[in-house]
Amino acid sequence: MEILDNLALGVSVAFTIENLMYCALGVTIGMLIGVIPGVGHLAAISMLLPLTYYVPATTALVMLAGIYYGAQYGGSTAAILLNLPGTPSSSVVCLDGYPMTKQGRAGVALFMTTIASFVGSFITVIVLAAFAPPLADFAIAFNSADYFSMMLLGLVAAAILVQGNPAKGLAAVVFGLLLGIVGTDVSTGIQRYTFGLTFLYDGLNIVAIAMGIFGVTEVVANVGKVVQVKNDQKITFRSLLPTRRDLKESIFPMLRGTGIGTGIGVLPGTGTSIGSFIAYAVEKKVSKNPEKFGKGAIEGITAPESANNAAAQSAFIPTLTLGIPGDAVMALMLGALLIHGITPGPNVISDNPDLFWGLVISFLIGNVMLLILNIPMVGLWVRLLKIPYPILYPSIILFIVIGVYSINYSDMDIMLVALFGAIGCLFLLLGFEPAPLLLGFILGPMMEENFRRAMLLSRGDLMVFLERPVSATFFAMIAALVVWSIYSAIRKKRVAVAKEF
Amino acid sequence: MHRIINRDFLAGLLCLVIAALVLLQAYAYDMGTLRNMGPGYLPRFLGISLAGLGAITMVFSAKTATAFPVLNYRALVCITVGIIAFALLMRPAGLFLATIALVYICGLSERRFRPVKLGALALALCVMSYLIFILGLNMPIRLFPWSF
Amino acid sequence: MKKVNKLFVGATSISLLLAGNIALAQEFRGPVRIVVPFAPGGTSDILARYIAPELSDAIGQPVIVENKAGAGGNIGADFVAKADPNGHTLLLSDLTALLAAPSVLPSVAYDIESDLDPVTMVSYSPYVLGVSNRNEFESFDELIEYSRENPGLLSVATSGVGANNHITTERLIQDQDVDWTVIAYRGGSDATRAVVSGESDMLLNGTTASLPFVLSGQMNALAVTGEERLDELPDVPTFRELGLPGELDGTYQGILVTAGSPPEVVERLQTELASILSTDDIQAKIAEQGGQARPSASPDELRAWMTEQKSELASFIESAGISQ
Repeated sequence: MEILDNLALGVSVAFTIENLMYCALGVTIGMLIGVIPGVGHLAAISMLLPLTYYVPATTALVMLAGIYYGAQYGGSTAAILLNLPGTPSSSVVCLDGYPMTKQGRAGVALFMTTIASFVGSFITVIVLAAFAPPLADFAIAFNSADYFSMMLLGLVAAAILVQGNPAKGLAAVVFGLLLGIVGTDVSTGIQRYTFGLTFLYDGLNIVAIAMGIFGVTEVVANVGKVVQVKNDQKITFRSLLPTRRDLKESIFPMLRGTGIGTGIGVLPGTGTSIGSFIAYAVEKKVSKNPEKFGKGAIEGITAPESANNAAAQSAFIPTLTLGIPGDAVMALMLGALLIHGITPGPNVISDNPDLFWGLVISFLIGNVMLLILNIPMVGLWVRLLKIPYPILYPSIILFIVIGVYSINYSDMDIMLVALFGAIGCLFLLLGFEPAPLLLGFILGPMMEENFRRAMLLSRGDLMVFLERPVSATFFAMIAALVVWSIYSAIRKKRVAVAKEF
Repeated sequence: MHRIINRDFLAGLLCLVIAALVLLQAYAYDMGTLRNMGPGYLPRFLGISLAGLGAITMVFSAKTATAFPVLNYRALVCITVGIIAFALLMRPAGLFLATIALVYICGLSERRFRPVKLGALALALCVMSYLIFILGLNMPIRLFPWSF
Repeated sequence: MKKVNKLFVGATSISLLLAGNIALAQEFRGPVRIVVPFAPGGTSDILARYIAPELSDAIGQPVIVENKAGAGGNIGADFVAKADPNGHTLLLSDLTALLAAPSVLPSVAYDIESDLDPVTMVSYSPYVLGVSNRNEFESFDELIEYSRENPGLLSVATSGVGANNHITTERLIQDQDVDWTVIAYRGGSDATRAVVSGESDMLLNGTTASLPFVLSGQMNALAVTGEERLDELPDVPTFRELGLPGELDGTYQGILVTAGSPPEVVERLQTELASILSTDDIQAKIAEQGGQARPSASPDELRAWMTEQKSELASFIESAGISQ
C-alpha cells in the first residue's frame, strides 16, 4: 500500500521534536491572532516569515500552516462573544453566534464551534491525504464560466441570508456589489469610482469594511446601555457544555459544511468566506425550522465553522499539488518554499514526499492540539463578557484599528473603519443587513471578472454556461433553489391564509 | 411615527439617491458589448437594479415599515472621531499618543467622564498592544514620536 | 618620480579609505527599511528578504523588510518618495512596472525620476513564452503561422492590464502583426492556472512561475527573452535568435531611495549592495528564482537606464493603446 508508506513517512517527519514544537507554536499563535479582531493571519504570517529562514523548509511550512488554520479556530470567538468578525468568513458566525451569547449560551457556542472546526479540518485533511491529485485536477479544470456559475450560486445564497424585507436584503447585496466595483477594473485597467485617490486603486479593504460595519456599529449600539449582555450569568462548567440536542442537531450540518468547504476551498481564489456563506444558506434551506436562524440556531454556527476550516485545509491542495496559490496566504507559503530553494510546481509532491506527507500529518497533529488548547479556553473567553463595558469597548476599538492598520500599514484603512462604522449605523437605523453586503462585496469582483472573461472566450455566447457540465450543474442547483424558495413562500402564505380563517 | 416618511421610505430613498450617484458616474465608463463588456456594464446594471429595489421598498413602505431603533448618536460621534484621531496620529506620533487620544475621545461617549480611569486603561492597553504587536508580532509600528 | 607617484596614490587611497570608514560609521543612525511595494512571497519580496540580513551585517544596523502592496507597486513607491530623505527608507521593486505606471495609470502621486533616486539594479529575470499543451505547437513559427491563418482564435493571458508581461505581450503582437485575444487575469498565478487548464492558450511570464509547468509537460516553452538561452531549457531559442527585437524583454528589479537623500549614504548603499550581489551565495539564491544578479556600477548608470526605459515605454504604451 503506497498510501501507508506515505503516511509512515509523514509520521516520521512530523513527530520530530522540532516539528512538533513549531506546530504547537504555529497553532497557538494562529489561535490568538484569530481571536484578536482585525489582525488577519496574512499579516501574522508575513511578519513571522523571516523567522522561518533558519529552520528547514518542512518545519517552516508546518509552522506557517499552523498559523493559518489555527486562526480559523479563533476567528469565531470574537464573532460569538462581541459580534465582531475577526475574519470575513466569521461574519456568518455572528448571525447566530451572537444571539446565542445574548441568550447566555456563549459557552455552548464556543464549544460547538471548536468541535465544528475540528470536524471540518480533520475530515478535510484525510481527504487531502487520500485524494489530493484528483481534486487538483478537478480544481484546475474549472474555467471562468464555472467560476461565474459557482459565484452566482453564492449570490443566490446571499439572498437566502436575508432575514426581513427581501427588497431591502437584495438592496444590501447590491450595495456590496457596488462597493466591490471601486478600484482598478481587472479586465481593462480603468479606475472606477476611485476619484483619483491612489489608495482606492486596489479597491476597499474588506477587513476595514467588516470591522466598521459589524464591529464599530455593534459598539456604538451597546455603549451607554445600562444592562450589559447577560453579564450576570454564572459561568459553571455545565453551562459551557452543549446539550445532547445541540450535538444531535449539529452532526449533519457539520458534515454538510465540511463537504461544501472542501469543495469550494479547493478552487484557487475563493478563500474561506464563500464556503461558510453557502454552508449557512444551505442549512437555512434544509432546516425544518428556518425561522430560528438569526436567533441563535446551533446549525447556523456549526455548519459555516466547519466549512471555513475545511476550506482552509483544502486550499492547500492546489497550492501544494500544482504550485498555484489560491490566495495571498498560500502565495506566502510558496514564497517560504522558494526561500528554501524548493520551486513550487506540479512536481513538489514527487520531488519532496517528506515535505508533503510531513505537512499532512502535522495538520492532523495541529488540529488535535487546537482541540486540546481550545476547550479549556472556552471558560476563559466567556469570562471576557464579565469585563465592564466602559473598559471593554475602548479596548475593542483599539484592537480593531491596530488590526486593520497591520494589514497594509495604511492610515486610510483606519479612516475606512470610521466611515463604515457610520455607514453601519445608518444601515441599522434604516434596517439593512450587513452580512449580505459583505458577501456581495466578496463575490462581486470575481463574478464580473469571470463573466467578462467567459464572454470574451466564448465570443459573447451565453450558452457557454449551460454547455459546460460543471457550470450547468451549478445552474441546475440555482434553479432548484429558486423554485424551492418560491414554492415554500407560496405554501407559507397558504398556511397563513388558512390560519386566518 | 410619521405616516409616510417612515423607516422603509427613507431606506428606499437612500437606495434611489445612491443609485442616481452611481449612474451619474457610470456614464463616464464605456459600456461595451456583451462579448467585450466595458467597465461601465456592471455599474449601469447595478445602478438600475438598486433604483428598482429602492422604488419597491418605497412603494410598500407604508405596509412593511417597522419602528426606528434607538441609536446613541453621542457614542457614534465620539467613536468615529476617536478612530479618525487615531488614524491621523498613528504615523507621525506613534502608537502611544494615538492610543491615549483614542481612549479619551471614545471615553467621551459615556455620560460621566472619568479621566483617571481612562488614563489607566490607555496605559494598560498601550503596554498590551506593545507586547502583542511590536514585541510579539514584530510589526514595524512606531511607539513614540522619536522611535525609528 | 613614478615611485613617488605610486606611493602618493597609495597613501591617498589609504587615507580615503580611512576617512571613508569613519564616515561609514556615521552614515546610518537607526534601522533601515526596505519597502517592498508588493505582497509578501513575490519576487521583489523574496529578494528583499535575501538582501536584508546581508545589508544589516554590512552597515551594522537592523534592516527591516516592510510590504506596502497596492496599485501595481505605486502605493509603496509613493510612500518611499514621500519618506524622510535620510537614506534610511529604500524601495525594492520591479522597475519596469514603476516606469510604465505614469503611462498606464491616470494619475500617479509621485514622479519616479524626481522623487526617487536610483541606488542599484538588483536582478534581471527573463520571460518564457509558454503555450498550453492542448495546442500542439512545436515551434514559435508554427504558432505565428497558425495565428495568421486563424485571426482572433488564440487567446493570451496576462497578469493584469498594464502589467509588465502585458506590455511585452503587446510588443510581440505588434511586432508579429497577429490577432490574439488578450485576457487580463488577477495576477500571475491566476494567468498560469488559466494556461495550464487550457482556458487561455499562452502567456509570457517569468521563469520561476512557468518553468515547473514546462518541465512537467503541462506547458510548452517556445521562446525566451534575453541574450542567452536558459540553462534549464537548452533547446528553447531566444527571441533574438528568432530575429525578434531586443525590446521583448524580461523584468528588472532595482533599489531606489527617497530623492534628496545624502549622496554619501546612497553611495555607501550602492557599494555595499554591489558587493552583496556579487557573492556566490546571493547569486545562487537569485538564480534559484530564475533571475540573474545585475548590480549597477553606479547610481548614475541606473539613472541613465531608467530615463531611457521610461521614455521608450511611454511611446510604446501610447502607440499600442494600453494607456487610457
